[in-house]
Amino acid sequence: MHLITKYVRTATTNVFKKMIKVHLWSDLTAPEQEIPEIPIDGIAGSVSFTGAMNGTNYLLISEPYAKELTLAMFGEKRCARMDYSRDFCGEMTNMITGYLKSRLGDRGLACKLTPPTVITGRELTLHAKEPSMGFYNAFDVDGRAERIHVFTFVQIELQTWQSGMLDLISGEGADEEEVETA
Amino acid sequence: MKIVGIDDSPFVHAIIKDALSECDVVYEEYWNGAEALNALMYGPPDLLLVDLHLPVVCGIDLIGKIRSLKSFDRTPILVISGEITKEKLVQLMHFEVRDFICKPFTNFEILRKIEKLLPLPRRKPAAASTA
Repeated sequence: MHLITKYVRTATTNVFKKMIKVHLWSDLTAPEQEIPEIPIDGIAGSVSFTGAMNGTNYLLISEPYAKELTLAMFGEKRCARMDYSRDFCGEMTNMITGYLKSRLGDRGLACKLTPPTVITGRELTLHAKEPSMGFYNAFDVDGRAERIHVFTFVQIELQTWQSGMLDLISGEGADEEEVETA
Repeated sequence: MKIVGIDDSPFVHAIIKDALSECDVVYEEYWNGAEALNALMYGPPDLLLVDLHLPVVCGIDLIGKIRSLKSFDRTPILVISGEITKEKLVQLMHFEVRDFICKPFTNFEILRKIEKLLPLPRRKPAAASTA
């Protein structure tokens, strides 16, 4: 399994568990999946990273579920005054990508993050123009019919290819990484 | 007893408030460094929680400004951040930051960190009404 897949699975389950006490399920040993053409029908948070690796991480969550989670967190009174679901999606994406950035930084692949942006709409699809790598991870929500999707598109800088640093995050070495399970 | 939290995320404030819900403490939240600096002119709180990634005035600059104020030279500061690099740690040590916590964290984790810096009185249970 690619290390980015492992980091994304670990980060997403940990962020949801710690920040909002929601248990997501993802089989950490499951094989990687092809990036499906999932139409966005809800809210997608995105955070880009630039540096030794360039790319974008997208977190896709249904709008009703995002509203439900923020309602549980802030209560009816606050949610009646302001819709926090967009902020919620942006913040979660920021934390997941922040974890990814930290782990890549530990391996010498320093990156910087952009502030989160949020896309809402119907029948939009996510595409990346010729990414070097693309990763898709889906998570089941404990006891719910909801699914949360994370897309990661990565473009490797020529310098990173040449330096051989890419070997650090791909191939057999990835399986040696210790992963904190949800 | 007053704790001031400075973070641009409503979720982080919500978790801190949840963590402090059983403590007899006032929690004031600010969403950016400039807003917090204005409010802090009225005097130091018992503890400051500062996110490093803040709009308007970044967390490190904010901590530097706070520490330059005489009445804040002993105010304990707990830093909240998505990541702490060695360079940032050195800067934070220079400003005598007492501890840090990385996001994501649970309400129990932040409460443990806060209580290491500031013993928190528990809220007294409401007196039972007599018939």
